[in-house]
Amino acid sequence: MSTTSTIITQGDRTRRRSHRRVEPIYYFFLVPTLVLFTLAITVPGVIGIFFSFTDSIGLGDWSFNGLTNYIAMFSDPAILQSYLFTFGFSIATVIVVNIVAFLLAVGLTSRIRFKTGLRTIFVIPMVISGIIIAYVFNFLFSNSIPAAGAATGIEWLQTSLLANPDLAWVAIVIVTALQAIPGTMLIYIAGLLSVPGDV
Amino acid sequence: MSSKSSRAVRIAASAAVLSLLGSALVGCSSDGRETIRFTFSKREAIEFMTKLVADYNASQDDVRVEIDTSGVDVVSASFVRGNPPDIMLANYNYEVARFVQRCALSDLGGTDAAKSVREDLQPLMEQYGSCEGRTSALPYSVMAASVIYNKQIFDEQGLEVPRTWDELLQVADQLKEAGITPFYGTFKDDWTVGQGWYDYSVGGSLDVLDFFDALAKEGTEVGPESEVSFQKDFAEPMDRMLTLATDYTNDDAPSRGYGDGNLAFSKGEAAMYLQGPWAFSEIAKTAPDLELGTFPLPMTDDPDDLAVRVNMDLAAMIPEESRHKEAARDFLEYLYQPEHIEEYNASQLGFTPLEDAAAPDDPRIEGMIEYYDEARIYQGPSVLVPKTIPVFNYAQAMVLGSDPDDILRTMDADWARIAFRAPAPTSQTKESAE
Repeated sequence: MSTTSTIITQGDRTRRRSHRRVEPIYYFFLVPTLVLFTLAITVPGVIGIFFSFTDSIGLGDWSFNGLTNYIAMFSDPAILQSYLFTFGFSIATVIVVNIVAFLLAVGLTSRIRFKTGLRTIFVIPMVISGIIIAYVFNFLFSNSIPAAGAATGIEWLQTSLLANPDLAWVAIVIVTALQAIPGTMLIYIAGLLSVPGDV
Repeated sequence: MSSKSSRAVRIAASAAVLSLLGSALVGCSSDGRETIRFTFSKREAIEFMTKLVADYNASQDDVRVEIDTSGVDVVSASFVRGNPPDIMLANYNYEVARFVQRCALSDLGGTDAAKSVREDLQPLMEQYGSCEGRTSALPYSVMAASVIYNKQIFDEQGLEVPRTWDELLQVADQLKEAGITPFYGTFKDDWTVGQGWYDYSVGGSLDVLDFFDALAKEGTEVGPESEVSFQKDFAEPMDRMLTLATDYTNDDAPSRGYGDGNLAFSKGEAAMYLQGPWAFSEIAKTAPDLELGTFPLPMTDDPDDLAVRVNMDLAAMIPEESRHKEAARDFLEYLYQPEHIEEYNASQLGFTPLEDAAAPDDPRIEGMIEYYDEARIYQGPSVLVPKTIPVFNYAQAMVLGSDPDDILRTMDADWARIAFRAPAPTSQTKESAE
């Protein structure tokens, strides 16, 4: 302790500052977060990793079973397929959302009538609760579109998109895009408006 | 000074916590009764059960039962925390059976209730696994399900209830010629395909209990080479199921759900409906006077193969970690008094699992009574596999056009992979080597 203080007194001012104790106020902010994060995220995570090497179901007796769970997991084709689906779905959605949102933004920043009204209409899907959107589109895909198909005699519209195992993902992309487009569109509009007019 | 006062605060706080904990642990209310927590979450029957609990509380002074309707997930969590309910009546399925497999439930073997329960139901209970030497759960209410049919349409067309596969096809053909949809399909909801189309087809074709015992024995060997497998034993039932599902259903079956089906069936838009007794009350909402009946789906040419699908809608269990097992047992005996258990089942169109119990008095389920009494019953193959095999989705994929051979092969692989992680339970007693 005494050695340290001698060194500090000998050193220059800036160095001494950096070696001084940190302001307690920083700990006041850091410690609660650190404790909560450790208790709520890190500890359960580590416990979870531990139990992944056992046959525990959360209660009762359990024993170690090595890598069994991991071997079973990676030999499951459904898991690989789920990853592929998620990637494919994300890529498709991002592309659709950005193209549509950009085109809408260009349209809505040009000199047209009812600009404000149209912008409001296109932003509405963003403020509708997800559960209502799910309900409405479930009804549209299952009832309205097949009914329209039957009325117009268009064969491929007559079965629900959701009932087609090969195309059901398209329906999910459409609804996800509908909800994500307004947010992206607003960003594009803001960006387009900040471009000087003479460019 | 400061250290002293903080210690005082700490002592006060721990005293407060202790007294809270203490009151929770002792479970004694101010009037000296022992309080037990009773889990019951079957929505349709909460009113009935609340009244029964009130009657019990009024009938004696030692125990007070508090009914807890918070549901299965909360109960599972309470087991993990080591604070399970004192007694529960719950749907008996793979999830609840995990408590049985890990011996987390106490032995009810010595109770009068256990002695009065029909013995031939025990193998069905043990299909989900057992804890050596214990009777971990007792059936309380058995639901039977089979084909629901519109009696009026059958009468008008002069049709008899079919008892063989050929008769079934004749009935369906005749209905079709008369311009009536034979079966109403609701393929949009995967569970309706699983519990109805898939389960009735398999249960009418083979002995479900034997099949799953044999499958559990094969374990990781299940596949194209094994003695029993989904791809071998389920191929024909699935083929026949698909014949019915493709040729004899409404055109829009793929986009119709359970609610649509109840409405359409109540309006007489189809003659037969593969649903359970729970659909009766829904159908009655729009057509209270519609005359309905039930019969097991015939899948073979031998009427002896006819059987109805049952599930243990409610089973009684007392967790090992309960601190009030004696009080809970007293309430258990009360629940199993014939007048209470029979009244409950009558109110829910369920079958009472006691020896010599009266069958429910309702014309809509009359057609299933003889099968139940003769124990020609099976549990749905869709609920006898762990949730990690998405059977409902697989069944739905088949009726929507996927290749059944592919799907059944996938199910074999799934089964073998799960067996690789942990051996499947069987209705036979476990071997000591385990």
